[in-house]
Amino acid sequence: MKYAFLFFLVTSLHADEARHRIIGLSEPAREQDLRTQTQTIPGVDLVSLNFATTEATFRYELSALFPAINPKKPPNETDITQKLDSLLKAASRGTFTLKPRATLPEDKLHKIDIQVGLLDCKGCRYGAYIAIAKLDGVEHTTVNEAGLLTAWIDPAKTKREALIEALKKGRLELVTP
Amino acid sequence: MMKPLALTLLACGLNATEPKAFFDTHCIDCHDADTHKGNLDLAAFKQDLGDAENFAKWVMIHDRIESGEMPPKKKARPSAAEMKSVIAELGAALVKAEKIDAEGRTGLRRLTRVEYENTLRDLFDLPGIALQAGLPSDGSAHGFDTNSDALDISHVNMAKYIEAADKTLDMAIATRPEAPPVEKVRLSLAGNYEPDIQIMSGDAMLLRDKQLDPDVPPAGKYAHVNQGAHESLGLFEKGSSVGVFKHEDETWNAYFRKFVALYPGRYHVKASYWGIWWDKGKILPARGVEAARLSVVQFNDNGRGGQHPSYVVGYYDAPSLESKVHELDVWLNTKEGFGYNSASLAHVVLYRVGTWGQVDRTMGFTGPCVVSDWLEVEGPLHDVWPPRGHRALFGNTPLTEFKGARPPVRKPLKQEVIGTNNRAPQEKGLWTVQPEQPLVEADRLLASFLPKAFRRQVTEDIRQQYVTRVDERLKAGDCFESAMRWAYRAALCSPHFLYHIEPMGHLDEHALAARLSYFLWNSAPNETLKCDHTTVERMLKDPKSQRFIENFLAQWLKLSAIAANDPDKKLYPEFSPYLQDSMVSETRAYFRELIENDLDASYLVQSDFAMLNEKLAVHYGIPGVSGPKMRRVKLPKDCPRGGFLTQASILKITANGTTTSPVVRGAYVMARLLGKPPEPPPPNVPAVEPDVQGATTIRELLDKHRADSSCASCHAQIDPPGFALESFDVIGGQRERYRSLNEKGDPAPRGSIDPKIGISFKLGPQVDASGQISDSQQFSGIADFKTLLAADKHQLLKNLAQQLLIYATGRPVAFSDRAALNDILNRTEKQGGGIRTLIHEIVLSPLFQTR
Repeated sequence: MKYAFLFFLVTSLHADEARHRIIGLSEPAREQDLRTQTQTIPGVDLVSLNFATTEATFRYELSALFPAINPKKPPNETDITQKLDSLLKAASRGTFTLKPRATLPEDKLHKIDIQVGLLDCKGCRYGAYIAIAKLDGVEHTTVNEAGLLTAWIDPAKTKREALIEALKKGRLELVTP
Repeated sequence: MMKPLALTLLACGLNATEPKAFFDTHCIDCHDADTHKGNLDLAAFKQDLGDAENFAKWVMIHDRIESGEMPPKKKARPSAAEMKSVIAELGAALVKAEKIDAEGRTGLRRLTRVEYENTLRDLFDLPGIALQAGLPSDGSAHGFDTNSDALDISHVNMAKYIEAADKTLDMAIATRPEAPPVEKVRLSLAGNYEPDIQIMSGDAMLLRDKQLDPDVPPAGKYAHVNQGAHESLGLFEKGSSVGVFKHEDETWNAYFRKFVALYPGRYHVKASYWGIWWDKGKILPARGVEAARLSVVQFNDNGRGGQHPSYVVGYYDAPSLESKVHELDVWLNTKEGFGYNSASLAHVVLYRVGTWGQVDRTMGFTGPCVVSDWLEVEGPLHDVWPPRGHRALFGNTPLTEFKGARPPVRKPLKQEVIGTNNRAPQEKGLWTVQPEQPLVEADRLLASFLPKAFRRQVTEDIRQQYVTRVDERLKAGDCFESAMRWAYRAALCSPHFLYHIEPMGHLDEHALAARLSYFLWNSAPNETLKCDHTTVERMLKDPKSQRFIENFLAQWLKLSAIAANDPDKKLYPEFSPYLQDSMVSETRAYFRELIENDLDASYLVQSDFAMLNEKLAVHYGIPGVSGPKMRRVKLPKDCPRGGFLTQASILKITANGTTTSPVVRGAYVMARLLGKPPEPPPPNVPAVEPDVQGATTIRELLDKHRADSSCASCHAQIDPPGFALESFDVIGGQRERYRSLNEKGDPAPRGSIDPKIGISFKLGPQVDASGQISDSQQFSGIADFKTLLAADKHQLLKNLAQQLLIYATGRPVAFSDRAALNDILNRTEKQGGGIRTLIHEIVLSPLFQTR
């Protein structure tokens, strides 16, 4: 059911291209990480990347993804998404994963700013980011060196307090105004 | 009532006329049944000299008269002629009595644990195989474990010998046609679980090109969060250097886990270290040369957790701001890897910069830091294949693929330690030695192997017994390797291997070579060694002679007991493992120096130089020594150090970690350095318990103890050396006042104690290190005392000779050996009295060359 749902979210631009949202783009510097790590996946190219929307378009060779295709049962979109996700995770040691594209228009999302302690370390920024990026209802997140964590959320699914709770659980120290 | 002493003397085998007159005139007044001073009743000796206890008493009487101690000086003195006559008479009777048991005085003795391990290491060229720990402990007799009285054997020993033989054969027998692939890896401390935790909390930091790693700056006001996130991004795996602010402790050890040996063998290792002074984000020149410790770690099970058994490979320079690369060869057993420690940092909790409330963690900290750039490991390195251990068993017969029904047993090669990068390759086929004529080959191989293992020529009868066993196994269906293994295991568990087989009387060339080899190399001879000066010189120059130095000192000076207690952390907070290892290194290096320079016996107690590294030099208050390397240092004038007596190792061994006792230290000096072990304390006399609060000095307590006349005479001899050593505390630091935990004490100055170490102890009463050995020999402190001891070089040399003889021959020096011992001493002293000369003369002496 999960991947049946995904199937409708994946927009097929071309028979050999797929567009997805990416979890793991915590900061602009991570764009290069994604490009570098995608290059290590045989038969898959990163065609375009929009950091603002975290959407990426991948071009792939089906035969590279599935070396032994059964002609009677060729892989469907779900299979392809699942395979791309798996390859990307492996190439990035799990720091990039695919996510269904947003269904809520940008102007309907709520922007939440949370100030955590100084995050001058790339690992810590990613740690803070990942603490909330995978929460249901968090559509897009960024973090900067000053420790400002910005999240765009679906207000129907989550709220600021849930984000704060997740950050505290991740042992991040919040700066009280 | 006087008893008929003459009858007693006659029963002892003495020509009673002269001794009777002597004893009646000079002794019996104080040592009759009524008075029996010193608990000695001369008239009560009923037994003959065949009784060991009685014999020992007569030896004591002989020695007291000979030394002039008896009759006492306040009594009428016998004439010199009288003395000479009675000593000669008594001595002759004692020699005569002892000769009864004089054939083969060295009992049949097995190899000690250390000898066993070294023998197998050399026999199979497996220089690091660890076998000792699996064997039961050896006992000790006359101060050494080489004595047959200490070397019993039981079914437990036998079971362990079988295990050890199997372990050795497993390691020695090649199981592949080619050498394992040589792997060369460069390891960072970062990327390993334990160091990564410290980076996260701020007790360590990443550096690149001598600057802060921009991706992972040191922890500041906020600690790093989410270690997994850092690891996933690969931030710890970029080959960064790791600056460590923290000494290892009970909760934390730094391991290089990415490489753990699969194949036992020699590995070439390079390690790069440097030091800095860290000041809240600034990298400044270090306070001096810091020290990094490299250790080999034996990982248990799958390697999880800390506190795995390890041994120190060495301490290495970490110069200020400049990386220094150290190269060495190390033997690794399977599942062994490397550990690191910032050794020169204080061994205190306070260094937990980020963990225990240090403001702004690393960025708020000022102090020293030792940096590990990388560790490069290359190996296993084999210059021949199959390796020499395999060749010792199977010669040059090539390995071929086994296709038979009953293959040799192989333990699958598997990397068991979690988190490593080096994995076991897929082994192709099963390879073993398969000669065309197994029995002929077995006979040839055993003919070569058995004499080396048994350290002597082996008769055909004995060899045939082993060949027969091989034949039986082959007929039972075993392959050649399994059948031979069966014979080899039997050989390694046989008395021929486990025991020193020595003929009665003068040793034959093989027994002599073995005795010499076990003396100076602690192992079997690799050839028939000759007992001559050239051979002894060659053996002493060989690196294997370090085994002699380590094993002899471990027992003679009880250096093996260096870690028997941990000094009280409140009283001696500056104590650290690095200091303890330095203590041991000093004593070994000093003894090596005495031998190499053939220095005389006075150097055992007094010297104008010491062997020091920076850690010890600071401990001793001697300036100008930098870095962890031991070197010869000329001592400043009036420095109390020099000689074994004032080495920190000896002072620690003779203390209990909290207090010092002149009795314990005095007894140690008498027994170990002067060769005059005190009598054991009489029964039912309570020990003198030191006042740990420091209100009463040990001297005051002993004064009360000596008020008891039954204690006074012995303590008059035992206590003075201990009093002289009262100038030194339980870790060998010099002191003028006792340390105390009594709140009423005076505040203690920091002295050379690291500023990061908190001081809670106080200063108690003054130390009084004065005393007197005799009416004419008084001393005001350790310097005077050492001068008094050093003046009697002959006694020091005599004791060392006795200790070396006991160690080398496996038996005590008997009364009837004294003439031969004196001959050794005379010959040595005529050549200047040097300690290397003494070793030569011992080897050439009949005492050494006779069983």
